[in-house]
Amino acid sequence: MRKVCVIGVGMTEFRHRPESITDIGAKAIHEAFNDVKKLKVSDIEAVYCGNASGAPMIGQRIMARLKDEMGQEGLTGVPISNWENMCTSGTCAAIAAYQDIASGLHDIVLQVGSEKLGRGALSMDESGRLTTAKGMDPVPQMFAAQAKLHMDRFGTKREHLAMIAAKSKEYARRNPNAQYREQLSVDDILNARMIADPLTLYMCCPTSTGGSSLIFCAADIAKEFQDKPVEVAASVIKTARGTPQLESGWDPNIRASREAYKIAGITASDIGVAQCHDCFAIAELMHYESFGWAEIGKGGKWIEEGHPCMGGDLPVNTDGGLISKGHPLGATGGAQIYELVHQLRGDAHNQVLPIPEVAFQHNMGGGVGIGMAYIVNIFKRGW
Amino acid sequence: MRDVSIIGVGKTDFSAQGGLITHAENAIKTAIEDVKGEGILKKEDIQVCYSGCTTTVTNVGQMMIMNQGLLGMGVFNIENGFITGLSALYSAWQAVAGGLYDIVLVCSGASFSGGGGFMSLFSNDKVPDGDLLTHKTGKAWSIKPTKHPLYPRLFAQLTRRHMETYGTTSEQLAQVVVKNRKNGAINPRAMLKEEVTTEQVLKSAIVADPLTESMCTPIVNGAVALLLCPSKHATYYQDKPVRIGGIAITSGKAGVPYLESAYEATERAARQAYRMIDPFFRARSTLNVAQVIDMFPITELVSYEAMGLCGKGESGKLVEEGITSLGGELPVNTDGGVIANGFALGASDLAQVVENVYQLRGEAGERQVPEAKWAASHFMGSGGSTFCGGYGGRGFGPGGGYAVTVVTNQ
Repeated sequence: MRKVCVIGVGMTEFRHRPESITDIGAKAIHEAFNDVKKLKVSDIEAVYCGNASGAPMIGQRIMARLKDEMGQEGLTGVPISNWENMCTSGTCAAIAAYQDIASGLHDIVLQVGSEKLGRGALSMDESGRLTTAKGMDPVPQMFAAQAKLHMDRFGTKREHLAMIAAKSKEYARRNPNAQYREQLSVDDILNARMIADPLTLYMCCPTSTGGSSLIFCAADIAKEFQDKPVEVAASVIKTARGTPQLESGWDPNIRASREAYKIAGITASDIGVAQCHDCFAIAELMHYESFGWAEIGKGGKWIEEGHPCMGGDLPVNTDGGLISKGHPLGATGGAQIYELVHQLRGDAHNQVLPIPEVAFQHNMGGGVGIGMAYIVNIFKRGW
Repeated sequence: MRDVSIIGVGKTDFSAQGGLITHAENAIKTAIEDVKGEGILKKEDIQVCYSGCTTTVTNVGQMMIMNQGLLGMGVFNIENGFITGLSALYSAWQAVAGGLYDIVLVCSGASFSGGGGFMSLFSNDKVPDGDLLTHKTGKAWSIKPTKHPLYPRLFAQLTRRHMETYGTTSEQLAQVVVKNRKNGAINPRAMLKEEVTTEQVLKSAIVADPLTESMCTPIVNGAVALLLCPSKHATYYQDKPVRIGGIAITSGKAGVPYLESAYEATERAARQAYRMIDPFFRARSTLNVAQVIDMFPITELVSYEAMGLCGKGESGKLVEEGITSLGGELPVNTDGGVIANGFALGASDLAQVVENVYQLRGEAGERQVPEAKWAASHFMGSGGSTFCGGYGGRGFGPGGGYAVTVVTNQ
């Protein structure tokens, strides 16, 4: 297996807008190319596209659009495939790109994720495709039930969930790509409209529209294109097994993170900055516990003590996370990696100091009751 | 990179019946049972699943494995039009070859029961009669009767051009159908088991001149599953493992002239796949058996030429002389191809690999090619690809996907 680096990252801002999904994807790719020295579209040897709600052959359609966006022909005849895994679609495309290079098949590979969603909660239309609709909220209900169980068993308070949302808002203030950047206090969050008790509006992530793109390259030639290439140290994917409701929030994440730590040869304390999938505040709280940052049941205390906040010892979701940045499924994974790469390079909007050496990405998602997908990637400096 | 072998195959009988999940579960079960002996391969040994489905439904791979006690492993879901299954195989092969995983499951299929969409994954309704279309939202495939079916028209255009340029005749087109239906007749698992004559093919109703009804393939449901492992361990799991010698996927390039665009991407894919085996790989003299896309007769003929089985424009003669019939020098589409099996999007491409595996193991029954050692397959598509004079012919559709795979028992 060869070492693989991320050399270019690009994303569009996340917000609802009329632009087409292919235009957004092409724009994100343009941004990623702007991030590297001397690379042409024709140098790309394979393309992996992440999208959850799109259409047949979405990657091919985005590449066909590239000529208008960048002035360079996108259809260069390379293999293009399209990856769906609900909220992890973008990350799955990134893993595919990573595996492609790691296996030695190609040297320079492009990942792109693009998504266009309406407002409202995610649901399925009658033909099973992803849609957004008002009033349908099976997913918030599921996480709310998990939150209640956690509160009953460990004495976690509503305020703890609100603190996670408030932290997200504080980080998002300085991220121009974030969908919602207004500042909210813990009280504002607790007093907001209730979506599914105990989760209020600001404890739930909004659907969004946006794109992100990553350029991967074999580590031995990475320096030619990027002074600060970021190396992929581990990449693990799992699905859930049959576990009780509360335990299902931990089990696959514990298995994925343990294996990733082992592959990367690190422990939880080596991580300098992290992105975890905060689709709901309770999810993020339980992730603290799954990944060994806080003891099981002590996630509330961990946020109370300010560990994941600005200036804490392990800042989490420094771009505002899904809660404030927005959640365009296919683009979310790429945007998480975008933030981590900038953190490792030392030029992020909310730069963690001292500049971290190891970064942790967690992305999960899927339909309720069918195993979902749980991904942990670990990145480190490649220079 | 490590060599990768196929240790288990499972294919359901393609038919207009059955939802995707039922088909996929059967295919996966068969593939696991296909591995030698009881208890040699335990379910928890499978580390990750690459699933393919042409319908954009979320988490379809998880649904395929959830009732079989396989949940817990990682699952990727891939869509790539007609070559969805091969895209899944391609990525799975990379992962094993690169040393990321050892035992990997590939499963891919189509669902068109009752028209397509989510409920069709589980329903056992019949696939409706009609033509393949992109759903009006652009978000999925669907099947509807139409007076002006898109794909037959596109390929009829290509057929006419091929006939004008190279003198291919309608009889030669019909012979492709006759040959494949004849192979299907001795394949106990084919969907259409009746032989047809050249006359019958030519006399059936015209769909888009010169393509007749018998030359067009029906859309069906089905699923295929494969198990991969590093070749060094393959004989532990399977007495007759089949090694993946070469595999390549390309997409169409812009700016290629119309007729040339039907060949260009396939030629590149074939070159890449052959080169992985030997820089001087000679397809015609090395290959013992091949499966190529026969969605319409013209696609089979163009595949012969693009894969180097014959010179440009000589494909009509090749089929006329019976070289690609069973008993000929290089039998093609020995299982009857999609003409006799029906076209299951995302499964027909992997079904070619399965047929090649049976041939190389010597388990193909009446249609066995004696002493087969090297087998190739080619599939391509879709969504208004260059093959149909799409982007290359300016303005219509993106680049599609083209896959060539070569497997061997050597």
